[in-house]
Amino acid sequence: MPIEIDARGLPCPQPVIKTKEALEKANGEELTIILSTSESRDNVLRFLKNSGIEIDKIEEKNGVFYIFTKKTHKLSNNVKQEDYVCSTTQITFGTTIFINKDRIGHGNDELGKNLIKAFISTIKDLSVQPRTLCFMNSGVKLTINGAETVPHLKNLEEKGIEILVCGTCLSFYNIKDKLAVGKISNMYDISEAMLKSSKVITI
Amino acid sequence: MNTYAIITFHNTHFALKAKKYFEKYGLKSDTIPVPREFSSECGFCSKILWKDKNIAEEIMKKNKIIYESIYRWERDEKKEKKFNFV
Repeated sequence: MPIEIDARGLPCPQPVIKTKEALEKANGEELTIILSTSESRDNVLRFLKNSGIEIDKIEEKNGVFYIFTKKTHKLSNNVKQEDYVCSTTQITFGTTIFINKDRIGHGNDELGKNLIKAFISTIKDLSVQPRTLCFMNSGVKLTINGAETVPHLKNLEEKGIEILVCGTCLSFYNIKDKLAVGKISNMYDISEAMLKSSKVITI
Repeated sequence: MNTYAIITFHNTHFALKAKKYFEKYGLKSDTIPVPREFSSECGFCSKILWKDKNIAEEIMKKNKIIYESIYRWERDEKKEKKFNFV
């Protein structure tokens, strides 16, 4: 049974440390190291090479990197963490969509409301999906009972997309009891989701 | 498998007008972006059940809503689509 080391989203040198720990515990098993950036991949490869560990295979699938290897001998103890710090700050992966009003753009409200509904209903048909959708200010109105966007949002939630709805905003508009989809959250959750993402799209 | 009628329009005003009138007459419709397989001058179209096609045509005729085309659209909505997180 191969050992899986999922180091996706971890900042350097964490993937190297995780790999090292797994290698120390391993006893001849095959290892699969999963990484989300090319920089962490290169770092782990460099570490394996420096440790004299042979690499069986490297694969890339949909932006995720897989390194297949096997521990063949005892690791040397002279691995220094500071040698595997990345040059750029990388935090996590995934896109967050920040929806801060119940329509798209300015101009005509009817058009804007139809556009936001079309936008949300289209996401589910795309081959790429965001990780998180955050709703704030009048954007929260898209998540309550009766909103045309709710069935589409429920569909996204079922797929595993996180839907965060600002509780302060729901209570401001007096619609907290009408929430139909998503998780009531606060500024901490929402700002953290945005800062952790590799990309934030504001609607 | 569900069968729908996709009604396309020459401009957005007609698409939004159709939405309002379908609602007024109690006809279940959905205003959605025109699916990629059909092209239209307007980005919005009406999606209705294929069995409601004739009623929709009548409503549009009566209320002077000019449409571009009506397409038959079959969709297997239960089929899971593959996707990746970005």
